[in-house]
Amino acid sequence: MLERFEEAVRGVYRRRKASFPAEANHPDEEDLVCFMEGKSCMKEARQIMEHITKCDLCSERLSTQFRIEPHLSKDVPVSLLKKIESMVSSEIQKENVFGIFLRLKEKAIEIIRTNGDVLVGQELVPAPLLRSRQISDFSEELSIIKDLKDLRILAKIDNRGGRVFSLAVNILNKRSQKNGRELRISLLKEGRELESYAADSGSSVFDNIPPGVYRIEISRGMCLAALLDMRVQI
Amino acid sequence: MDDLRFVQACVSGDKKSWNEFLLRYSRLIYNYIYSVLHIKGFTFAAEQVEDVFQELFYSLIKDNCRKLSTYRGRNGCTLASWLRQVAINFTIDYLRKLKPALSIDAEREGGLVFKDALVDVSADTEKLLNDSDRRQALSDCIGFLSSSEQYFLELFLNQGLNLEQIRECLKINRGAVDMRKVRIFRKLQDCFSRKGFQLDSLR
Repeated sequence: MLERFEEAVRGVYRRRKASFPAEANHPDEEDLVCFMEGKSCMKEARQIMEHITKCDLCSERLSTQFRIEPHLSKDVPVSLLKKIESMVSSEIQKENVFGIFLRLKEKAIEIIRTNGDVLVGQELVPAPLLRSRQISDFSEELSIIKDLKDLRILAKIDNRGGRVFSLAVNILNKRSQKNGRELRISLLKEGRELESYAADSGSSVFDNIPPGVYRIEISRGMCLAALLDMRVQI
Repeated sequence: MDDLRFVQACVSGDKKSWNEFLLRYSRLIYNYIYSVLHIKGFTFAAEQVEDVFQELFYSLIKDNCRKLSTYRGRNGCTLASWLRQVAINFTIDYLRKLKPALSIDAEREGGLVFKDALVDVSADTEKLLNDSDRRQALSDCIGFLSSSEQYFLELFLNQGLNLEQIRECLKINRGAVDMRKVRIFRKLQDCFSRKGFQLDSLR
């Protein structure tokens, strides 16, 4: 009789649950973990319990945890791990690179490609918009800005007679708008470090650089904070 | 380095930290994906487990590591626990998206084996509760239960966890789980009776 009653309650319970409108504001992974590990405050725990009794998705996400065999230990196939390493490496780089491709002319700088915004007077203009306005040549000085995560990087390029250029890199913390501190800015060519400065004031200047392909690494402690890839030709 | 700073180093694109991340957590993520697929009754070919694994990693790192950046380490939530839940949620969402496309013949096609119960478990209940008054009475009784009691019913009746799994979930001893179950069903029976229905009317 009791089993029959349980079965009846199950059916009614499911019907009742299905009649609730779809829940929004699902708890995130951290909320669920804290709840399951008994680390949520009482108010949060009650809210999650109430949500779970109305939301099948979250209930399934939570209860699945308790069905899992804890001692399963399969190795990740080596080929798969290699794929992931390569995906992570290319994705991280893509998101974290400020690219500038220029041509030095005798008395001008031509922008061939950049993913930064170009400072035109007081206005920041994305490079594709400049192209649509058919503007590619600038006077001998050019400033390009790019936001990468919490940093705003200003690259100021000076054409020195069409043969060499100088590059000033200025870094601001995007939130505080103050100069980035405890940064190291290094200029590399073909993986070899040419110059490197501890930029306490958030800026560094590299002078008399001949055309070529360069990488400027901006690091904070042991962490790489941003990359500026620069290609300059004549 | 604590978990939050470690994640921040990964988010900032530090290669060493990413190597460490893969070393420490790829096996954990892989095993959780595998386990969820297994307990959900899907027997996947290795390539399909790998697809979920790759998609999950991509979801963590895309858009400037937006997903990974949501880890905050609140209330001592460790990165391993967070990634465990991320892997579970992601795999469940993946299966939910896949479900409508599955064919009952999938097993014969050599791909996914779809073992979800296709039987309507509420069919018997429909016979038991063959009038809307009884259904409504029982539904009202369930509504009178506290949130924690309804949560118990959710785990036990809706998600089908056994009492041992519920013990682990509620972090109480087994005796307390048994007692709680008895108490909840007794409450429901009493409520049902007060509304003028008897258990033997459930035939």
